[in-house]
Amino acid sequence: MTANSRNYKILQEKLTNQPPQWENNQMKRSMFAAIASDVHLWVPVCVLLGGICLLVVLR
Amino acid sequence: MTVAEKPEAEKRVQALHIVGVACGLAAGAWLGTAEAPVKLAAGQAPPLIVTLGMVLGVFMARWTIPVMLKGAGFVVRDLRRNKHLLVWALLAGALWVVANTLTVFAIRNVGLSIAFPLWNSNCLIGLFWGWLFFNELKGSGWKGWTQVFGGSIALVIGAAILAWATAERTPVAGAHPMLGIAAAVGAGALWGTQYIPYRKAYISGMTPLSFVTVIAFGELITTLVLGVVFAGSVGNLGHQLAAAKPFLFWLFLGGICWVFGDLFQQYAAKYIGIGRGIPLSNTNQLWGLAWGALVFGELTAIGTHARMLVLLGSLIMIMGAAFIGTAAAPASERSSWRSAMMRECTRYNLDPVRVENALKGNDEQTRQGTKRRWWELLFPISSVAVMIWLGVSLQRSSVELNVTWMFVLLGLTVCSLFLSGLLLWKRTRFS
Repeated sequence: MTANSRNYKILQEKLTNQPPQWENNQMKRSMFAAIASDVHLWVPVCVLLGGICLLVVLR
Repeated sequence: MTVAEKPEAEKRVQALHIVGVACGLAAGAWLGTAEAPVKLAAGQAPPLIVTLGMVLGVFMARWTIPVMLKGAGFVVRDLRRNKHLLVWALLAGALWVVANTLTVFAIRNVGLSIAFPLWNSNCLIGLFWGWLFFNELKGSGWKGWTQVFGGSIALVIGAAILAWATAERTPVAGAHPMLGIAAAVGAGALWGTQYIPYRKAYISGMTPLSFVTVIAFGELITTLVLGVVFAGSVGNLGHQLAAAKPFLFWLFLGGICWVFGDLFQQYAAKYIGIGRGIPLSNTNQLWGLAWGALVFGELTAIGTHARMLVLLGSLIMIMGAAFIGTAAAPASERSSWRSAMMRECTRYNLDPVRVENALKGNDEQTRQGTKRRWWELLFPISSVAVMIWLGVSLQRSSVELNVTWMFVLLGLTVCSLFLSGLLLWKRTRFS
């Protein structure tokens, strides 16, 4: 994407009251990073994996 | 905050505590009642088909009830503004299904009297996670700790006595006691951990009515995967499900009752936290016992000693629930809750004012409501159609019922629905 077309796209997004696409992507990336580094996610995931392993043994 | 506003804020906190306690108790009533229709189908199909039938009913109700109460637009908008929580909702559904399947193995290997108290310890595990991750009970002082922790212990002991007095203790042929104990402990750990996603969602300002719609996908996907693995193939699973059709009505009905109970449980987790909410909803054992003893006549064969134990266990459970019910979080503990909420806002870039209002049951979007669309009517219509379709092929059950007691218990359960539902509506608009 050239500088002009990028500026045009940003202007267009401003006119339609939408956050720029690159800003959206950045927000998405930071959301995924926040989820991936959240201990509140990994504790239930580990307990779930433990439960599945137990099911495999019991079966 | 001005001097005049302070008593108002305190009143609001008290009101929300009452809403949370009422929801916890109503959850117990509905989760216990859900066992009754399932009893009519249990033994007629493999355990995983019973779970699958129930989960299908749960899926239907988890979408129909929220759409009827708040509209599809509201649900979608709430999910959109809390996208990061979708993964926790799926996780909560998966945890519930795996725990539920483990209980089958636990009962098979050690019997209900040993298995039940072990997995009922889930409230203590939930209490621990609530304290560790969400600052629950921090700053509540010794009085709060005694009431909540003591009440939870009383509920576990009461439940253990009930299970011991009522369960059959015939040795199971070919059983592996250690594996059974591991399965029961595992189920308790999974059920206790399932409350992490619940509390996580609510301190981020989400509404239970929208969170449960995604949990339904986690439950359905996990049950289908486990069903295929246990049945050997998709075809086998389909055959087993088709063979269970004459009893599916009861399983769907059990699933619907279970969703009412779970919804109340979610609201309890939102307004009083998981440390207080889970033990209160664990009073479902009292309701299950009442249905078993009064409607199905299950305790006619037990002796006087066992009856006294049932009475003792029930009284201890009621005492435990009363202890927790009166343990409102003091200002110092609420300030710890707030710091957990602020941490979520910072991490996920949420608006703290909106989240705080949602936690106080004052969410602006929830109160405004959304425009209803005609096609939303398809949800209740199709649910009723499914129930009629299943009802037509329903095979008459040979189980004898005490109809008078059935209507008494049904009346009480429906009363709890209306009273707690009305409280929720008046004070939070189902926020």
